Amino acid sequence: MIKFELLRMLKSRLVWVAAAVLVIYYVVITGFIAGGSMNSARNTDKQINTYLAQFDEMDKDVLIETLQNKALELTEFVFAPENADRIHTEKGHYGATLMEDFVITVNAAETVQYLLRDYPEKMTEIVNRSREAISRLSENEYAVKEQQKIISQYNRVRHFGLRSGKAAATWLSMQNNYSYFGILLMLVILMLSAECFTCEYSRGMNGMVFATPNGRLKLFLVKLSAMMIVAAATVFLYAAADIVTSIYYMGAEMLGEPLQAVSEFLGCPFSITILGYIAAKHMLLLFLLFTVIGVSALVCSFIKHGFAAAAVSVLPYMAGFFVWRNLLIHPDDVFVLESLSQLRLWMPVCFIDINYYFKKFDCVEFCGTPTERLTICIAVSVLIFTLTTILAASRYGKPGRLKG
Amino acid sequence: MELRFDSVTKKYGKKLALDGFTLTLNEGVYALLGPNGAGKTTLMNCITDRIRPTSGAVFWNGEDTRKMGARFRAKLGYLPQSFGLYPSFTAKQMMEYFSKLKNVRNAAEETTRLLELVNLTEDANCKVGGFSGGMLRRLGIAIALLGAPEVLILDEPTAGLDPKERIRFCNLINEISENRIVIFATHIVSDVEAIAKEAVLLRGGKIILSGDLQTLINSVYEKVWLSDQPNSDEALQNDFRISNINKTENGVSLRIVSDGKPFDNAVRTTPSLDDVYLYYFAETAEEENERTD
Repeated sequence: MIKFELLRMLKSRLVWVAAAVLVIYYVVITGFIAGGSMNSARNTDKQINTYLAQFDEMDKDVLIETLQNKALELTEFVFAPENADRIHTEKGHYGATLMEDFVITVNAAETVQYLLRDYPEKMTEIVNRSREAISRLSENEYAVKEQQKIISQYNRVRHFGLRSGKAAATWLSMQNNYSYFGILLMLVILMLSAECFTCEYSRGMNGMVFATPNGRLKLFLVKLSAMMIVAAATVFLYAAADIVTSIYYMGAEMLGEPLQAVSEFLGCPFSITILGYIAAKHMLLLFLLFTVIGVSALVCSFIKHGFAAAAVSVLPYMAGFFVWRNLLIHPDDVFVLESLSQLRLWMPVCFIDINYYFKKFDCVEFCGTPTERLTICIAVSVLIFTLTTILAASRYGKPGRLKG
Repeated sequence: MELRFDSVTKKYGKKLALDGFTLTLNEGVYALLGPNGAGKTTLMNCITDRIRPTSGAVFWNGEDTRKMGARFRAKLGYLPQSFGLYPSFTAKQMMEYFSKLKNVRNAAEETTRLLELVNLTEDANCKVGGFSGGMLRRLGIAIALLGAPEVLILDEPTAGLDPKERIRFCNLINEISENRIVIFATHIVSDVEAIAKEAVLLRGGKIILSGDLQTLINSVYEKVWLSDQPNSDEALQNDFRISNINKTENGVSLRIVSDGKPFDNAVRTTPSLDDVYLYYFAETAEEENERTD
């Protein structure tokens, strides 16, 4: 029966329109918006690496000082009024112009300082902070274990294939842009799900279908399975596209780097690679889509009209969007930050943008035990999905108040 | 094979859609006859478990159909008054889909046989979206017949069909009526005459008369009159239930259904099922006023 449900969807114009919208949007945000800055970041990394090659074998502190001096010299040269015309026309040693030389030199100095001085110092700081925390939390076994995990995480010698953080940072910004794609995907799945669970009513088939022995619980389970397959297939394609895009712009070696290579995730307590992060991101998105399917199935068991059901189903997710969007606009707003922290606990909609779960040790006290927000939110998602589907299944196709 | 309705009552707020409906049906074709709002569709929805009766129950061979659930629905074939199908599916795919819903084992053979029965073999691979109303209804009956249901419920099956399609449809129901209970709701009297073994007259959710067609006709025996009148003005039509008006050289010949002799020149005539319908369901202007007051 799942075959028929999938066949019906494949023959539906709504599905093809939705697929076209998703593909076009993905291509636009990847190719035109992210692609340009990614290419530029990749070129900058290449130029910086070429520039740095001449300083191999140099001692760490000497190298940092040399690079900073060179950057200072070029800064003075670039900002001298008499050189204003030359910097854009005269050919540079590493870049096309002297201005590009200036950008490369400054970036190289910053990169080397970050990799050789700032990052190890931050590691030490994080480890020290964890050690202090352990001494304070000695009665709480779980918290101590978590802090020990952080120490072992940061005490490891880490290889950074990415010499410069430029491309990694730009990759992260591309990932953030994909949050909007996640929202669009969620809305599409919501529409498809609402259509799927109400199509018998909109086609006028409900009388015939619900008078059959398998027209109720079994058909509900078939529809649920079909929608879950559609969601999983869509997320799988999205993940594949995400990985291919990341490899294309950053190179395959980047995927094996620890997530902490991206400066924003320096405090990430998980031992996870960038590929692992991408996989986690899509798994959590799939969790979110499953809750969307469950909620819309439940709403459809009350409202037998696809569009109306979709409109109602989206309401609980709107609060999440609102706070998340506000946080992007006002990142320092304490109220919004606090609201988002609460929502991140209870609302799977926050899986649209999972960065907050990975940036630092993010736990709350739950039944007296410090528990990661991510774990609680996954549990909440499973609970929402289970409850909504059980309730929807118990109502689907059952006798109601029909007009005689 | 017995389908029994035991005081089935359905209320919508204060309105009674079915009022203590009690009846026992055995193998054969039964017509539910009544005007709009009589409770026909409500009754059918109670049988198919689409709505729950406020009180009373439907029994299949002595067992409550609601308790039987899917076991009873496995014995049902249902064609609603208005329905649609997936327009992008072919007739064959639609049949296969419902075969799955009905647990039909030899689905391919059943599909071929039933599509042939409803004369849709040539259109088996055509998309349902391109079907005419008649073709769609024939496909609907084929779907209803999947799984050899013991109870076949047809709600206004001939509504919207042209005369040729209606005759074909009535013949089809006659063909398939053996070894099952067929219940069909209609307000087209000629369909009842063509198909039904017995009829149930419903009004306001209550049975006002039931029995074989001859019993129904006998109930208006000596109540049908023919009378010649100079004209058939509106006042006359308001005062009497007129089942037919024929123009004659001197005016009109009226066929009137009335308890008493309507005119001095009126003579009794043999009643038909149309007269029965008119007697029980048509209101004179005076009766309508009394009811609304």
